[in-house]
Amino acid sequence: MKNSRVDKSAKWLPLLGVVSLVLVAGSAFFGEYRVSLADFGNTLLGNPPAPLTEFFIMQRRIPRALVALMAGMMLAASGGLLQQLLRNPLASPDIIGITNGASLGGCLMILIFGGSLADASGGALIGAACVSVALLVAVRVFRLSGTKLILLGVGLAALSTALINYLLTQVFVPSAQIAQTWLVGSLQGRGWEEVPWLSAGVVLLIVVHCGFDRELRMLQMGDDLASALGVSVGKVRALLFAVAAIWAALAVLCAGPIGFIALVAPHISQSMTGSRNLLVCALGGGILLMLSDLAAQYMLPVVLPVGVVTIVFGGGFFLWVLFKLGRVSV
Amino acid sequence: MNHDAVASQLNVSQAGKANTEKPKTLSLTAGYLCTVLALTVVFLLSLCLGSKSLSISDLLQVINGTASTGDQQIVFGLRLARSINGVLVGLALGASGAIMQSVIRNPIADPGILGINAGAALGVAIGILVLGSAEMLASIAFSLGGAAIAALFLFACASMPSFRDSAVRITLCGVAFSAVLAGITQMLILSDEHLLDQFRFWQVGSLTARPIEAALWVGPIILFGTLLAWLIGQRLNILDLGDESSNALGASASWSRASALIVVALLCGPATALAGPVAFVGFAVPHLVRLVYGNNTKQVIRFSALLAPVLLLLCDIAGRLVGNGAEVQVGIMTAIIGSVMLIVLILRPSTKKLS
Repeated sequence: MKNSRVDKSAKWLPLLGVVSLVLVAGSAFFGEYRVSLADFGNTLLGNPPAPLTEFFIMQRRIPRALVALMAGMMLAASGGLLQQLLRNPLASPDIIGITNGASLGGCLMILIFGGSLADASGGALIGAACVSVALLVAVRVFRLSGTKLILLGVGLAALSTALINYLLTQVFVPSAQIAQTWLVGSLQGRGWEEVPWLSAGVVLLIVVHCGFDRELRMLQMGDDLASALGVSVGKVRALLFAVAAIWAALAVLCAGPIGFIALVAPHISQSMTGSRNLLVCALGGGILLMLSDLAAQYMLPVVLPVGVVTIVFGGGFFLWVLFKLGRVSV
Repeated sequence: MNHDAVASQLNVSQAGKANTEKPKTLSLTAGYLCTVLALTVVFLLSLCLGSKSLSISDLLQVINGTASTGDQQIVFGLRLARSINGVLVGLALGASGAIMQSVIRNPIADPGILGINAGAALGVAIGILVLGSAEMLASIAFSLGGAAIAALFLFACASMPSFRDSAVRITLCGVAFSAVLAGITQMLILSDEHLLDQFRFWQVGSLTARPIEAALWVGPIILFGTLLAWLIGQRLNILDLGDESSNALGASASWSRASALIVVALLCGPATALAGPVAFVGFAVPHLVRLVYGNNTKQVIRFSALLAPVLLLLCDIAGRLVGNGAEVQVGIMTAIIGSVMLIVLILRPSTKKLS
């Protein structure tokens, strides 16, 4: 049983890796500014035919595609981890308010200190941490669970959004504009500056995947059984919850609050591969966000922020999951 | 659980006593008097307070016509319009929130949370896209259509067996539905520059976004809707007993639901056209009313309709005063207060039935 599961995800990982590489190359090759295949190859090898080609491919398209891939990975991993920890198919950082908390924290930093990305990152992490602590307290003290916990998250999300809107009305126009563009959930203008942050998140993902695979699988069987099998449930859950919050905060930091990827990707990857492998799920999310970004850029005559595309399609998917759940429980 | 049972028995015995001694009608009359009085006071305060506050005697002078032209302009040009808008929008949101909470059998129902307002906003956007301009009448028609379609979807969901049992699931459904509608609206807006320019003014969630003429168009529809809401309370009380009992008592359940749907659309569409998205008023006020009058839907609807304008105007006044000249829009104030109330409601141990 265990072997077959490992085999399955082992089969899917290289496939998804190849697909994401192809997508990165594709997004680097196509675009408004046309490049021939030979020029493209030469640019990648380090001797570009013109500075403009070098600029568009190496400074614009490749970093943007990488940010999309890795931010999608962060979101999907965060969603997949939360769904396993809370044992709730609707749990994901953007629905239970972690994303909004991170946005609020980041906004506070930008608006008060007029800050750079590094300042905003501290704020985003603190904001995500506050919401996570509130949710953990709700689980521990108030014994909330299931959909009621999700609804609490919805309330926290609404509160953070309202506070963000309040902040935006209270400051000078220039900083409000910076914050507003950051709040849309767009990959426009993202580049090499964001890549190191996200790479750190990917390293953390691999560490968690290798270190906690066994504990996660045992938590799936229920708290009692897991603790009987030697997992200290409370500690592991708090630690992994913190990790999920960090991933969500990183994604918000580097791409803004992009909705519904974290919810949708784990469901898709699970129904396709039949396993809850975090790496597979993360790669799936990365591919999903890259596809959404391509759609956002080329689907309509105007360029949309990618967050709009994911909300429409992801929200529709969320409704579908709700309907399906309803049928199952009856 | 025990406490609940005891409490409900107490309620029953008290209700029995009340029926025999008839002090309940008296307390109802007193309640109506108090709410109407509160509404009047808040309306006057809304005329007086702001970044340039006037005293009551100043206000009297303005009404007599003996005040300075500046004060006249402030009261009649600015504050009267937003106060009237506040009353109209409050009436609509309070009544429709109470109706939805009863018909969807869900304590967290609110036209803002469940996507009716998002439907109205999408309707307005499509209207501008189709007609090319934001004429008031066309906007109202399109927002009515959008609100009606969104309400139809929600009520259809709520009557499905899998959703009927779970108050929380229908709420999540509404939240997602709302997000999708908002996303489509954003998509339309961002793909058409002309639409973006026109729509900016609809998105604000503020009582000052429309001229006073808008209230003249919208007012009759909202007042008519409020009248209908006032009248269908009895039917909804019967519907609360359950579909079968309701049918047996001669009040067809599906007809009650359909009329509730029409009333909600009549109220929410124009309210959104007038003030943009103002969330959580329709959610918060019915809960406050229930603290006093219990689960009598008829009275909850009536008192919510009267009290919601009070809350909305108070939020608006607070928004004028906290910002030191820079106003906080009323939608932001109501969202902050309402979401805190939502969190408290979920954490309260007595809401066990919320599953």
